[in-house]
Amino acid sequence: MYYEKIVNVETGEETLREFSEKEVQAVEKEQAKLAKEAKAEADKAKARADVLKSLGLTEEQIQALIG
Amino acid sequence: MPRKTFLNGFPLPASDLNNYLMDQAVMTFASSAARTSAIPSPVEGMITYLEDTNTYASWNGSAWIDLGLPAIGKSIVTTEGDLILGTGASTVARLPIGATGRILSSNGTTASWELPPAASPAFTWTLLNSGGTALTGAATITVSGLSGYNNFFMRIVDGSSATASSTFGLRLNASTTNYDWVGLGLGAPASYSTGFLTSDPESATSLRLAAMSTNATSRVNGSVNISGASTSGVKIINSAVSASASGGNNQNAFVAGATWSNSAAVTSVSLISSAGNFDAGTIFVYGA
Repeated sequence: MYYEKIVNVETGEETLREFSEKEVQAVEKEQAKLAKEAKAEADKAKARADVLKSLGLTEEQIQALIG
Repeated sequence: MPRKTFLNGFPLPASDLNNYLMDQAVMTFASSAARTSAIPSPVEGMITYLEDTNTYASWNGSAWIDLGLPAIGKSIVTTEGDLILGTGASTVARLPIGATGRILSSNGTTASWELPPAASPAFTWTLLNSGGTALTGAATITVSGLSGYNNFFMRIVDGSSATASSTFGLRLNASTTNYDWVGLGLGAPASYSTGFLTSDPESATSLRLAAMSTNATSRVNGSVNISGASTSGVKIINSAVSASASGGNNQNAFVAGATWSNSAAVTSVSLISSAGNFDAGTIFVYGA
């Protein structure tokens, strides 16, 4: 569940409003985008590690090679 | 009409009396019509007084010219600094010198001596949300009830979302329109890329402040200035907010200037976490 917390500095009142369906969709869309980006990064890192492994090189060694 | 010198013993014909005395005195008539009737062919230099308008006029050879009499007498002013004030059409009165420090002011109808407007006091900043507002339990944290302040300063301390890489944004009055953003964006990718440093203008539904790293413990810190908040004009927003790596990467920092084109006075500010509820941090809102 996602909420908006509203603090009124004049009255001191604090209220919690549940997100509308549209707002929830926006949050979930953002989460899906971030998850996709994270997976792409992980896949890229794994592919790199696989290449290094096949070459028998460590990350430090490849960094030394490419400067 | 030339002036004639009469000598003792000479005859005084009626024509001389008319030409050299009657016509060179101030002739009084009931109206301009009566004057025209009595003097169909005026002579340059003649002076008349019209009873209906209480005006003196002189014939300049082609027209009767109002002499503007009676003139405003010097006696209308009595004290150094007095002014002569129009109180209506062709009517004047003395305006006594004003008291020390008073300035002449118009209310659109008349002029008077008034106290000058009070000088604007220097900014006095006040923390509006005592103790700060905790950034927890919600994806949008709104501080409302802010009317009456023209300037705001927001300090975001150790803000964080439960979701890694969440972008922090700002909204005024919960509005999702008319934000125009320009500034410097700094990213921290795992390895160098051209996206490390960006500078693109942006129109969005909120103002981007910073983005957390790929680690959910990333912390966001920074500040936002808002000016012109109580006016009907454009609001100016300046921000400098960054996020810590905290074991992750891809965190973003933004140093930006933005406008919010909305005529409403700012009454609330909202901090937004794009990808989920906040789970740490505090926001302090100051007003002046």
